[in-house]
Amino acid sequence: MTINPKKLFDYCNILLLLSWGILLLSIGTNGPFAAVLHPTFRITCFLGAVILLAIAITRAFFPVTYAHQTSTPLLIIQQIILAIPLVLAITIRYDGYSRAALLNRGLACETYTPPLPKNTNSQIYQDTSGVWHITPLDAWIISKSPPERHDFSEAKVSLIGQLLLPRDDSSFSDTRIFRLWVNCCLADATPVAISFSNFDHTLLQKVTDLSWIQAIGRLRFLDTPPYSPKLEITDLRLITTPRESYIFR
Amino acid sequence: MSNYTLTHGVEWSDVVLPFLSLLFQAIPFLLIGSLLSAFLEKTLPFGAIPVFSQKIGKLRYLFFAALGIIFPVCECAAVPVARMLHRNGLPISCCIIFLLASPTINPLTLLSTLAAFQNQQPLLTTTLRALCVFLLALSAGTLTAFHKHKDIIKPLPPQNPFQFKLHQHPASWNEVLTRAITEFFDMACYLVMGAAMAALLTSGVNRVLLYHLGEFPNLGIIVMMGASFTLSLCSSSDAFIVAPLVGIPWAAKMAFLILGPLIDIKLLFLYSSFLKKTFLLKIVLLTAGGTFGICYMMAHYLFIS
Repeated sequence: MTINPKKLFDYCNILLLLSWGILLLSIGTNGPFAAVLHPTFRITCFLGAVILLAIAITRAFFPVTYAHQTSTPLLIIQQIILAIPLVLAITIRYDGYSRAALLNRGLACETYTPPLPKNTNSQIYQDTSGVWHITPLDAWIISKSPPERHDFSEAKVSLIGQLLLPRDDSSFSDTRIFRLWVNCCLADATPVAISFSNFDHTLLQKVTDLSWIQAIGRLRFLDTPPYSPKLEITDLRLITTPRESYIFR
Repeated sequence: MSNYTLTHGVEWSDVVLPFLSLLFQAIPFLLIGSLLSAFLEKTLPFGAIPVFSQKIGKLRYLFFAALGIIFPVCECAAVPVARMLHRNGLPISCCIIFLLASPTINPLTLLSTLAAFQNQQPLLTTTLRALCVFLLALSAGTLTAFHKHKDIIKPLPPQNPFQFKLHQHPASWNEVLTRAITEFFDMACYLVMGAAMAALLTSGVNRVLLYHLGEFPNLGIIVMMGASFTLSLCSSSDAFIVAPLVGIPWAAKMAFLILGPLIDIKLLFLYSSFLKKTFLLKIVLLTAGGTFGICYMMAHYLFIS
């Protein structure tokens, strides 16, 4: 049995359209690949997926009548290039960046204020035991508003995020909890972090760098600009990676 | 001082995540642009676009710069439409003007700028953004007058793998679809390469250093131009990224807003699908130089912090 290279090229094209369609559909329907994009772009992904799948199905059932002159190496390269992102999409981990990338993106600290949205997340709430559930991003936004800073100073808060351990054991004040804030897509993801004002050395035995934690403690702010928030830890526990690991605002 | 090193290093996964993210964001727009261009090619009578452009005379520059208001396309979708306009005989100057202006001068981008700069002269920022992009697009369009056509546009492949001729009107809806897919595959390859390069730079370069340098008045303009060039963000959302940056002068933010949708790494690859490298380099120099000049004047004469 011989394979017609022109037919093979056509089938590969249909397969590419189909695969891209399925991938975009997964993003558009909040599937496993959706984490890489801001929710506002999921609708365009869904639309793109529908179009691609419709084209792929049309082409599969109604093959094009024109014939190719030849299956040039350029077209094969084109198909390979378009297949690479598909392979990467199903093989990589989506849970965040390495330590080096986080530092490249700029961690909030006493000398650097991250770019911030104007308002706190409307989802922040106080539970029955009086603990405020906020994100590191909310804490930074609160720090910029004098009345809110006053209200939340010494408030008991609970934060979910990743732990960034200091590089050496001597500088525990550099221990931070952070979340990645995404405005558009992961290319602009910014780590928004809060320093701990205390840290129990024994905790180091159960946590590793970049592990997901829930930190409960008292929120404080520096007295001088940029009024950076700090957390005095009272309890810290390991948690599993949340489904929405990024903050989309 | 470790905050101000050029890079803290980069790992493979740090590049792949933003790469996929940029790609997934742009691919649907590219697809819509390819379909739109093939659809317009089928529905508009052959030769109608150049005839119309001749009829309206000098107003055509304004018309094609503002075409994004009717077709609100972002920069990825504008490329296939510009390629189609050129295939259908529209003067290359008008194609370049449309290509550069439409991603900014469209309702989505202008409204998002207005919203993002709520407390930072929103109306002035949005108006100046549109006006400056229009002027730069017009200058780039004028640049074509000093070049021969063969020095601007890449020749079509001598033997198209699909038997239709690109200069002919698509005869059937089947051919419209085929043309859209061909266009999409062709452009998507350039997009993949551009997104990979942009992802490498966005993840590998220390942004704290960039933002720190951006706080200096004149240097800030250059740094923010560099940031917009490397970040390769979508024009519909770039204002939300730059508006909250504390300490960056307003003129430097304007440089980010003006240059980003005109030229960035991702776009360089997309533009190179039909523009010759030498001409593309001139467009880059013109738009970058123009952006710096305009923003420098804004910094020194508008006094907005």
